[in-house]
Amino acid sequence: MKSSAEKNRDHNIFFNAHTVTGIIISIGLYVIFLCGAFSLFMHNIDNWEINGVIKDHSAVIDYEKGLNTIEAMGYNMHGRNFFISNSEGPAFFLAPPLTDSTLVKSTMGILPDSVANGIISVELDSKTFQKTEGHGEEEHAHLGEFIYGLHYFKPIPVIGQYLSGLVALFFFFAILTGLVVHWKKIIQNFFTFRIKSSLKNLWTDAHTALGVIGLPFQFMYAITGAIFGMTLLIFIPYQLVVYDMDQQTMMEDLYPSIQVKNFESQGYSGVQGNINGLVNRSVKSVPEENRQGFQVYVKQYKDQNAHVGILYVTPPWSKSFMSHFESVYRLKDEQLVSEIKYGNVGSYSMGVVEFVHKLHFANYGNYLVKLVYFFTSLLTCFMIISGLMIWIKAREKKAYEKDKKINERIGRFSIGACVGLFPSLALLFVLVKVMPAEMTNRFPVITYIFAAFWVAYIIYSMWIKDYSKMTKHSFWVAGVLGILIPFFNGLQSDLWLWESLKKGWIDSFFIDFSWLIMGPISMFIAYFIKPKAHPGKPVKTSSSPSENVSFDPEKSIHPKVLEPGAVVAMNTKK
Amino acid sequence: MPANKKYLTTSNWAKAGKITAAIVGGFLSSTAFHLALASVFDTVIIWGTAIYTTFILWGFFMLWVYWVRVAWKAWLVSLAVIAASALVIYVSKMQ
Repeated sequence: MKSSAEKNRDHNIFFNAHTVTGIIISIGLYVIFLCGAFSLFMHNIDNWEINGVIKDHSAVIDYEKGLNTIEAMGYNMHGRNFFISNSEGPAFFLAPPLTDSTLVKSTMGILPDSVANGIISVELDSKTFQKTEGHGEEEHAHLGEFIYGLHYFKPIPVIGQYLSGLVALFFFFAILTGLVVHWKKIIQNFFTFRIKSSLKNLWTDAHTALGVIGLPFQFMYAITGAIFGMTLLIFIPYQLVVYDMDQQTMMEDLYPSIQVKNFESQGYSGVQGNINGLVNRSVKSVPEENRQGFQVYVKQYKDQNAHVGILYVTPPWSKSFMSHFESVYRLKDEQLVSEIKYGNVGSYSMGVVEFVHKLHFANYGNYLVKLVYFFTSLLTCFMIISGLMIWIKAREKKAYEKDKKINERIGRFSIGACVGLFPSLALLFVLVKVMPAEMTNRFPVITYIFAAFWVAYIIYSMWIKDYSKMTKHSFWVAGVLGILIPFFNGLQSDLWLWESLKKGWIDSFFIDFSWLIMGPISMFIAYFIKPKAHPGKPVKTSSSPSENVSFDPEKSIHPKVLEPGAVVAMNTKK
Repeated sequence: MPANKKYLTTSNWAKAGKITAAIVGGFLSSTAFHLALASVFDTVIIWGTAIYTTFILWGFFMLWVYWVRVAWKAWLVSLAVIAASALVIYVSKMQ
């Protein structure tokens, strides 16, 4: 049996651990969840940016002709592993550099050896097989990709991704410590929401109740986030200890798909094989409602052991939770050598990888699933803010007088950075539409402006010092920018909201429409944030400590008297 | 109400010891444990499972470190897990 002092000790230790980890990861976690919420719609955002339509990735093209065209360019082809993605327009042929020196070289000598053996990355028109120079800069989408990168700290060089993994791990630790601290009152407090008593209680109740509601979602993201951020940390020990440096076997054990599989060279054959015929045969055998698109893999090209694999992607509305299935044929005798059927998984470990991906990227349902994810992410963002506010409010007490300056600065910086991110993201959406298209370094400049605005908002927050004001203003700015976004998109491209709906350009419509709703909602929130009814912190008098000392929000009758009155006063004004 | 300070570790050495035990010790012992399992049981199954359980075990180990009273005890257990796992891996490789 534990004595009550020991229980007290445990409670305080875990409470402190929860607080400290929370403060350390707060900004990072907020960035992860807010940018992550937006990047759920990454492809929609990309298509909105260039106002394009989703391309059909299920056109069968003449692969043999494409490969011959590339050979005629002078590349060494024997032993190549090709990845071919085909869409209506251009087809991409990608192959990593050759490393095996025993392979047969082509005798053309058009290209120097280093280039002929090097990486192949060619884009051909899928009808004429002329080399296309790629899309122009203005047709290339960046925004979705950038926000997605931001959500795992890609702009921080080298360590960014690992840092995001660590934040996810500490988030998991914070979930555990939070649960331990909250365990005994978990049911009782869940039904407590003291919205009118005081702001401090509101923050506490919001933090715990939302924490319990969001728990499964947050647990899932803590673990899957840690997996994506710190994959290397698990790969390296397995490669060293269990697989004796054999990375290929390790990867095939984990993910036995044509994407990863390697086939040994059995000597040059020079025969191209019936690639087109096999792809056609496979595609015809799959009902159209089960496939959204497919990719073609050619392994050990022009070898005795050459294979062709066709990997299908299921549409989001598919009944199967698993998103891909595939067929692999040996080119020599046109035999089906391996197959993952629709709705099946290759193996247990492949199922794990798929499952982790599906859960993290929310691509197992349609828009509804993504919207649920989006709102739960926003809820998590609010939980981070409320956690910060509990910390800040508690440190305004007399006992913390000696660290007051530094605590206040940490509080203002963190809240400023968090609430400043939303208007900064809205600004990003505006900038990609208003910056002149022919500008050099267009997107980098946009990201610098975004960063500058965010930093400026943090400085502004530290200058105005009032938490509700900084939140209120950020929602105002985001609201105004948000409403302007569809307007600027229409001005830039003539693709107004109703036009894109009529034409069926769903992504353009979806993003415009979402901002058109989000804008007024944030203005509405901004309108209802009242800087005056902020009992924990007298707005202008915070510089004189003597007033602060006598002010205790829990004992003071001030909020109870003032708050309903303030609401009445506001209502009568209208 | 923030945590009562009288229960918290005050020595910086003890704090650093706990933090490193939680992060470094936690990772090493969680990984070592899974590697030992992988070398005894079905490697492919354990390898696929370790992708996610490594992090879950790591997190619980961190929690446990803060539950233990002193940092060196946490490190001791961590090192014991690593040593035992290393022994299992060594023996299974010998066979």
